[in-house]
Amino acid sequence: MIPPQDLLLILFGSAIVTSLSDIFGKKLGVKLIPGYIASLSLAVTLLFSIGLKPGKYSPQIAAPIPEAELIVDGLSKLLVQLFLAVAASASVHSLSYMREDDDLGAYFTLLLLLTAGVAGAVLSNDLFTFYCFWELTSISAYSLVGFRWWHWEPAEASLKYLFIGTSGALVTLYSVSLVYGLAGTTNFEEVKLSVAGLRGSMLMQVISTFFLIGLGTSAALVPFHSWLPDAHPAAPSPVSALLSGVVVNVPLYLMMRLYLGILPANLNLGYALIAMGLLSSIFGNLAALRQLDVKRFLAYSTIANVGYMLVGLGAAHRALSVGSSYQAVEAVTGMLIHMVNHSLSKSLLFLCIGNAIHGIGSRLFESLEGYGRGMRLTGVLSAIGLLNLAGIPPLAGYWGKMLITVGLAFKLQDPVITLALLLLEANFALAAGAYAYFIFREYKGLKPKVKEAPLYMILPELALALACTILSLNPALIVETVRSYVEALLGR
Amino acid sequence: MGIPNAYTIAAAALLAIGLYCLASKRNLVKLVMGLEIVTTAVNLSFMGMGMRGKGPDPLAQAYVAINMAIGAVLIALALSLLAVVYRHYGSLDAYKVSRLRW
Repeated sequence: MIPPQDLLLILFGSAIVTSLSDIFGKKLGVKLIPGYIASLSLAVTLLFSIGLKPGKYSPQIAAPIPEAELIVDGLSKLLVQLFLAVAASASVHSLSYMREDDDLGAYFTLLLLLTAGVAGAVLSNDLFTFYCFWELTSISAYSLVGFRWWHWEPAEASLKYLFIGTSGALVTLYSVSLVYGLAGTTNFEEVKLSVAGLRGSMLMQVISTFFLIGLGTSAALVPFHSWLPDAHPAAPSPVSALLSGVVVNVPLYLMMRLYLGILPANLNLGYALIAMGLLSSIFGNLAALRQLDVKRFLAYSTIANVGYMLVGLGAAHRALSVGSSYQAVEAVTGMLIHMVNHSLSKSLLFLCIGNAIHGIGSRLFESLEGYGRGMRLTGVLSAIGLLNLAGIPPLAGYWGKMLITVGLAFKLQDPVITLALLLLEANFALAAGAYAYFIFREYKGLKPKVKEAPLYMILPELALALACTILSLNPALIVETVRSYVEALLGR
Repeated sequence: MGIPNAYTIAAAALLAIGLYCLASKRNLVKLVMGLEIVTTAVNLSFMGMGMRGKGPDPLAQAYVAINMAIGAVLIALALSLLAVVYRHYGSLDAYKVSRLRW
């Protein structure tokens, strides 16, 4: 049983140790020492996170400070474990993938800081604490995207990500300051108590809209998405896995906390969330079809999947505002299950594509065609990820999408909702078709001259694929667990 | 709690100016200045929101101090990336630094 601050302490401490170990590694001639330390400490943190003790933790100086409170409940524990698992996989994969690069001490330190920021953001019970950890994540992510700055592409993508991401974060912070002005505090529970009476007021709508714009920019929702398809291809593959599997999920988590527990429910906001989610998924799926670059394809598919999650959130918000909490629970459960599935399978896919890119030396679909024949195991593993994302019924990806649909599909006399359902299902079908075509291209054409990837690359992919398979074989496990967490969150 | 006071109104105006600058300027250095203006607007907004009764709220002061540090890190990173981009492109015009589709 360990408190969450110890978990963060391990991550920050190992970040310092990693950056120092680079010096000794260079003297001893073992370049990968920081990588070993980072991977080991991430694995240890993942083990420790199983023993996180539920409860609230405030630092005390004279009296407890609610504005720096950390919370461990079912949801934050689940997401911390998920993010640590993805980060550990990416770190082990980097041991092979980044072997030729210099400055590995900086790389692994940034990776650990990104993970620490994500873990802190998910565990925080306060808006400003969340913002601080989120900025730590973002700054590490900007630097990791631009890690190979001597090429033009990472430099430009990183700068663009910095401008757009920081503007979004600052807009979020501005609405945090409005919340602070209303409530006199930023602690989630205290804010909830003080804004409960302001349902439907003008100021609450302004605050909700600012949060939607700011967090939507960080989560790459459609009008504000343009950083994501550039940042993913420019970053090294393990970093792309982290961006898609971890970073875009954190703002969605805060949106979930805000719109379902804290800010009062508002029917129009529910419709706005559904519309924005649908726009993201339609745009993401259509734009993915015409990409020549594999990583751009996967990046647009991330935008589409974030859109599905937002539709789930919007459906839950709508259900809450018309007072049917059964659908709200279903929709949020679906959103979270889709988040877990998408995070596992998308990071698996980015790592597998990383194997192929590392082996063949190109990111274009044309030159990668047939990599599944040359790299048998990588081919099978990426097919598992793609099938899981496509959500063919027995696989885990199906359950999240089904629950989102169930949460959306009620009071169907409203034509807008019927249209939204149709568009959502069409999107699922379109995406499944695109992924099937991807699998076809994996095995199409001549066998390229490429050997199977080394052990450090395969090992984390096997672990992620195993997680996807376990979820597929036993979906009731995760569905029931997540539903009980969501019921606790919504107070049913 | 009286939200509209001189500070918060000025903060909202500054936010609008900063976002306008971010949306309309072509020079990348001016975009960094836009980010700086928005950071200042948010800090001023926190201070204005903390003005109640007897002087400023220590909580708001703590927030602003932390946010200034974060802002400084961001600006440092942005300027170092600008230097790298200038070496690649020989220009700081956002329209020329657009081999990726901005």
